[in-house]
Amino acid sequence: MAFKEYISIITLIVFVLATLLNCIFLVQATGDIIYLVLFVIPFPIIIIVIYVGIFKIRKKS
Amino acid sequence: MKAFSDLEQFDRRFLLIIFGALGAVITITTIIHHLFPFLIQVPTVVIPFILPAQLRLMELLIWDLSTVFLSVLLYYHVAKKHGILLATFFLTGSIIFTGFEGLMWILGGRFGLTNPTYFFSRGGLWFFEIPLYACLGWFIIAYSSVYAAEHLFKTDRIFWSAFLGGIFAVMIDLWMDPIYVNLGAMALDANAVGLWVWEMQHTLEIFSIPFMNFLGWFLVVFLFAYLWEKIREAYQMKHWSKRKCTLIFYGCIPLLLLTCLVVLGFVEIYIIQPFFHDLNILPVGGP
Repeated sequence: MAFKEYISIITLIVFVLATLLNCIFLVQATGDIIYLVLFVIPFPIIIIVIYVGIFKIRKKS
Repeated sequence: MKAFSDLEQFDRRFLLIIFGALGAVITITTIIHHLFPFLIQVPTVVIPFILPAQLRLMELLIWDLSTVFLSVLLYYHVAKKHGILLATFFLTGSIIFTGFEGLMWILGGRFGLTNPTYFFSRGGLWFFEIPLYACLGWFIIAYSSVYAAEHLFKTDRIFWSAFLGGIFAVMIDLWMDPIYVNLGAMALDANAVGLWVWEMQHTLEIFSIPFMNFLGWFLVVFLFAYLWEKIREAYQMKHWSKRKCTLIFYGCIPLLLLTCLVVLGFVEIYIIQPFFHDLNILPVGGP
């Protein structure tokens, strides 16, 4: 299975993780948990992306 | 992916022209932004640096290089999948389209053509008044969202993959925007602003971010993905030559910009201002 098939998924996840890191630092700095709570909005997308990576792309390749 | 010398003559010339032109614009506007900010009236604000003063250049470099690295990786992926021409369309089209879309609002507000809108505070490399990391971040989110939508629903219908890609991208931005707008709260200087600053007033806001931003995200991703998919189809079915695809793709970008301007302007003036002004749904961050 070619690694290149997953690059798009991996790139998005790395990008989201980098933002999540900033989010955690921001929560630490402000004490405001809302930034982390808002993560429920893109969370389904992350799940979808992982699902696509595991099931759809793998099946295709 | 083929080596540069193995590419067809058209591809070689196209890559040289488009990346050469982008490189020149980025170099010139970066120099103007950092050394001659008065020429374009760059706002004076406290920039949100997280590292101490002696490491600030490194902070800018890390930020820019990490997005460049991810974008190059993604560009390689798109090129492997669809060929170098279509990959270059998506990458450079992202920079040009989002760059000019943002620029319309930023400079329009700054030079009094519209009410003040927003501006970016921190960036190493700049494409006019948009930091390169913002353009490349858009490329990563837009392509990955459309790619996931395409695979999820196994749809060959261009409209639906572009539409769902737009929805996915907005859902990511609904979380990301409040973080980066309030990033100043974790900066070393207490008075630092966020990575970008919203100046729009008396408008509908969600999480203290203007609703127009999210509508703009959807519209930009949807229109751009739809155009790119149409070009891809025509190119892969060999309906159009490379030259024709290139001319139509870049020729349509001003039309997409005009569409965004008209739709967003209409919604703001005729729907938000009369009915929803000064409404902030779930305020987030400082005053």
